[in-house]
Amino acid sequence: MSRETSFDAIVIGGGHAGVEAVRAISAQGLRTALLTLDDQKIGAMSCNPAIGGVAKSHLVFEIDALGGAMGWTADRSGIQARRLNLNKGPAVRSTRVQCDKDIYQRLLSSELPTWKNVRVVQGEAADLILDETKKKIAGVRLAGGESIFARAVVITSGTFMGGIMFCGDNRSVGGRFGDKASVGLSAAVRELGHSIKRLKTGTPARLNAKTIDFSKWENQWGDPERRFFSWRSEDAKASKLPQLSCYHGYTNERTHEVIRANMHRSPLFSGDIVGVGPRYCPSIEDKIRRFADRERHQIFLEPEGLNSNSIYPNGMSTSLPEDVQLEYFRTMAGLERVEFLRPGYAVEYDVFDPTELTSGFQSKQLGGLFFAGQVNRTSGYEEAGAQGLWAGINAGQYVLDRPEVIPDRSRSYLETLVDDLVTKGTEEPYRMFTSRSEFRLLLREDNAHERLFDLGRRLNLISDDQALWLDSVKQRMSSLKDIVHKERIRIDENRVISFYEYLKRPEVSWETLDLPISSDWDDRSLEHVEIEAKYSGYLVKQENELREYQKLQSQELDLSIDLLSIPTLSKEVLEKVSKAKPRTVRELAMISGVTPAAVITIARHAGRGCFT
Amino acid sequence: MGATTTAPTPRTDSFSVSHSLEYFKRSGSAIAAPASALGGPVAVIRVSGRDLVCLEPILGELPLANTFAFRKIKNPKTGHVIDEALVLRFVAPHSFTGEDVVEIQGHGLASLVSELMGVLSEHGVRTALPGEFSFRALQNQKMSLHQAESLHEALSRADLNVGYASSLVGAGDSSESMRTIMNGSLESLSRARGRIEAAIDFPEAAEEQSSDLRSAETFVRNTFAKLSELLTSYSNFVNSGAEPHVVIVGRPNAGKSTLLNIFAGGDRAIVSDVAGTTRDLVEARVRLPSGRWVRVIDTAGFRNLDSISDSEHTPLEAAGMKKGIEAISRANLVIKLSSLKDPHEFSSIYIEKIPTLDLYSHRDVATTSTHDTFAFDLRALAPEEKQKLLLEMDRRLLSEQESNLKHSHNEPLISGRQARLIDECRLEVELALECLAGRRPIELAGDHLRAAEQTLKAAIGENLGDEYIGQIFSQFCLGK
Repeated sequence: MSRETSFDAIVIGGGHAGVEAVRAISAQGLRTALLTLDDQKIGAMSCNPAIGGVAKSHLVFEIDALGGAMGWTADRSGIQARRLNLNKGPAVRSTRVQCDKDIYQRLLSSELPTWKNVRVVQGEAADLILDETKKKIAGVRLAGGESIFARAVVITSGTFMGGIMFCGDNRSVGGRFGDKASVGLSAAVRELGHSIKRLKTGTPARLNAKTIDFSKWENQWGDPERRFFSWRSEDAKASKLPQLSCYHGYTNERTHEVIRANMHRSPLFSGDIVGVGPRYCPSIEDKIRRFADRERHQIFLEPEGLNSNSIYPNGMSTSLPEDVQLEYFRTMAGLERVEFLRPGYAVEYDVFDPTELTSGFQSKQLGGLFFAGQVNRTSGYEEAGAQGLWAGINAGQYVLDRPEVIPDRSRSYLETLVDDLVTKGTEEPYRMFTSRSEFRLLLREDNAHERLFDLGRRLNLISDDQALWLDSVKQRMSSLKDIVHKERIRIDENRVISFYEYLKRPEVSWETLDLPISSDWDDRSLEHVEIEAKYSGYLVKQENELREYQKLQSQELDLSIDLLSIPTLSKEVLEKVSKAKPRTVRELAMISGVTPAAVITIARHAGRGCFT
Repeated sequence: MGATTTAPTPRTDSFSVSHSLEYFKRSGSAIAAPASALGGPVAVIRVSGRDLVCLEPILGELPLANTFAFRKIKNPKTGHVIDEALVLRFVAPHSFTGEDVVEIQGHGLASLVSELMGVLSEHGVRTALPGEFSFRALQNQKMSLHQAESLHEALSRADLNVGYASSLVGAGDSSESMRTIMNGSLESLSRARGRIEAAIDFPEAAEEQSSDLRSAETFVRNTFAKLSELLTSYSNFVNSGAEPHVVIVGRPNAGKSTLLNIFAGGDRAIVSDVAGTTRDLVEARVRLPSGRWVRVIDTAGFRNLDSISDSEHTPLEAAGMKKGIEAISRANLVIKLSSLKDPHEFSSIYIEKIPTLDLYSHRDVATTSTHDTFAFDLRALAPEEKQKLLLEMDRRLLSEQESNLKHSHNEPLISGRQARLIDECRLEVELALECLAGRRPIELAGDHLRAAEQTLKAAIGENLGDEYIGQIFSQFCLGK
């Protein structure tokens, strides 16, 4: 049988970024090939077994709102779900779902090949193929010598590009335990003029549950009522999987002694690893060195699946040798006889510089080449998925000869992530926080689907079913709003106020209201209305800021004009602007070293009418 | 970790990059700035915008296009006349910025300029950002790029206090100590915010959070106190050219109202009785023998001014006490009135640092100490006794002024623009404290502190850096 070799777009890498890129491109009606080293490991959770967390869950809701796969898959494989920050205000509450890793991966590996317009190709990308002008991509050459062709290529190769794994002084080439690395690709990208840098990440040992005495650890159960990420889960009542407990405990002084005594055996400190690691997911040896006064560090023992003996010790990522790892784990109560399923290790890998990309994640060097995920210097499944989706959207737009979609920070965390990466860049693995957004009261879980509806609909990412669902949600919310504005409550002899006014008080919640209506509504609607009441003044303030921001971001530039024709621009400004290729007045003004005066002069020449 | 080796290096003009965004956001809105150095006989305030009708409640009808007129400048809220000034009107495009421009040329008193700028901002005329006038001139092609660039360079080098603090201070000392205080406050705020944001973004680290939030609260409280000090130093400075304030304090029934009536020269001494609570202050304008006018302010009688947070006070009393404390904080001289009938004497920490004139009433009933120089029978005060009192007030105020002049070079000094920004900042800090006290959601504390930092940075003349979040989080062991 002759193998299909020509597509609209090729996505390299079947991780979380790759999956969402495939989804977004194929949803735009384009023939999409997923090129992966192993078609049984599509969507593998290479590190921890959870999806979500603070700010990360917001990304998952947004991915779902744009038709993505992550939330829906996590909902169906969840074995423990918790809402975080319940003791804080509703705007920063987040959802974290621990998944059965095996089910998660199996769902994606079996479903993705059935998506419309999608073909899975097993193989390794060895080189990029350019068209005859050398200015555009034309396809990918595989390691076996075959070629596949497409107008757009999205690279989402995670830690596999130039990946080297470290476990003490033992080093091996590979992107993940048991998997080989991808070697040719980064050289090809470097040749295009992109700069390449090394970053590192790590993962802890996996413990054998049968060798752990859990009675010495504190149980940590999920919430009885769980919140689903996906709109699709609401009717399906997604997960029927049993819910498991995690366990909570601490390292102790003896653990730290073992680590200190063997610090010199860590490649992090011997100088073998040069890449910068994720600050917010530090290795245990890093924590002990940098925070020497701490007597103990938290650990969570997290089951990796219903039918698996594998336990993920969250907080213990490392690159120390296996014997040291075993020794320090055994200093802890309940782990005295622990055995590994496999040791922890660090991996160092090649990354690109996202400031060399357009805000659609397209290479400024080569038309049609897109990057997403860990290769753009981020960490986390959710950050990867969000980028994959964005690169997929824009790769689709590119193939359809439409302009790139310009990110709007005030609309989503997803676009905040994109904007941060391409305008500011990052020197260490980037992780999402609520504090990265200046609009965090507006960017919440409860309104994610509403925020992104127009964008998703315009790009054909949203099905009619999803649109109908959102209509019904909006109706539900607005009738709930009517009720809280109409219904009144007596607070003392003299005063009767509306429920809405009453809800504004910090000490009042739906629970304390104890009203018959609350049982008729889903918790997302209730939360939505409560937030609108509690933050009413603040929301107005942020909405004003949002309009100012959008005014700026909507002032687009046409840089096809000859910058040299603009009088009096300095050579330095000319160089910076031609390199950065800003698409809006705001992006232009963000470029370091471009003075306000130069901004306005360029805007006057290249503005598209809306600039006055 | 080596975070910044290849990061884009911040340039000296980094603040302008973020400002240029601000310029764009607000283009067209009305802006104002003092255009003359303080201390001269005439103060010029320039206002620019697409539509300046908003000035009419303050200036009355605007003069005809490209002419000038004499106008009384009013505070529309109170109807009180601030100044009399020459108002010049330039109509677009024939002006410096190319927009409509109004120039107000009034008397060169810092207190007047400050009051007018305050009234303008209440009517939607924002204080201009540094360089914003020339930015608009460029936007409307009234200036070439080259001219604008060089003007901008000059402005960035001369710091942001051009035309204001620099002309006030001359030497760098004061602005240096101002800078130290503001930078210190900024650091405290960002430390506090780091703790709050860490608590929000890393809820797993539950056990550290309560102590983190407590230490955040301490940082924020200290900053609040520091900012208040800066503002006091500013208002002291502004008021140094204005009428001195003399505040009468004392326990209930010491005879404070009687004393005020004596100053005012009749029973209708109440010259201002601001609506609100019944315990508002009453005041009189009094001319001293030297010829200068002072404002004498009566406070409600309090047994103990230092226990404002005690629950025994009604909200009304507490409000009255707060007003009393505010009046004292602005006082140049405090008259402490004690009744010889009352064995207790008034005392308060608030008057400790302010020159105080001790005065005793009810001499008629006293058995001893009738020889005390300033003991009177207020209900039957002789004209020469009143004269003696006024002379003493004159003398005390004069020596206070002299010692102030001596100290003023070591006082932290800020410009009017900075004072307004710091005031804004202090409000945000106050709101953050509300959140930290649990009266509002905690994430709003983070937002308020960020707003506070931004206004403070604007006051110093910097913008928030890119590695900022990394910096504030780097102090903690975060992540699982």
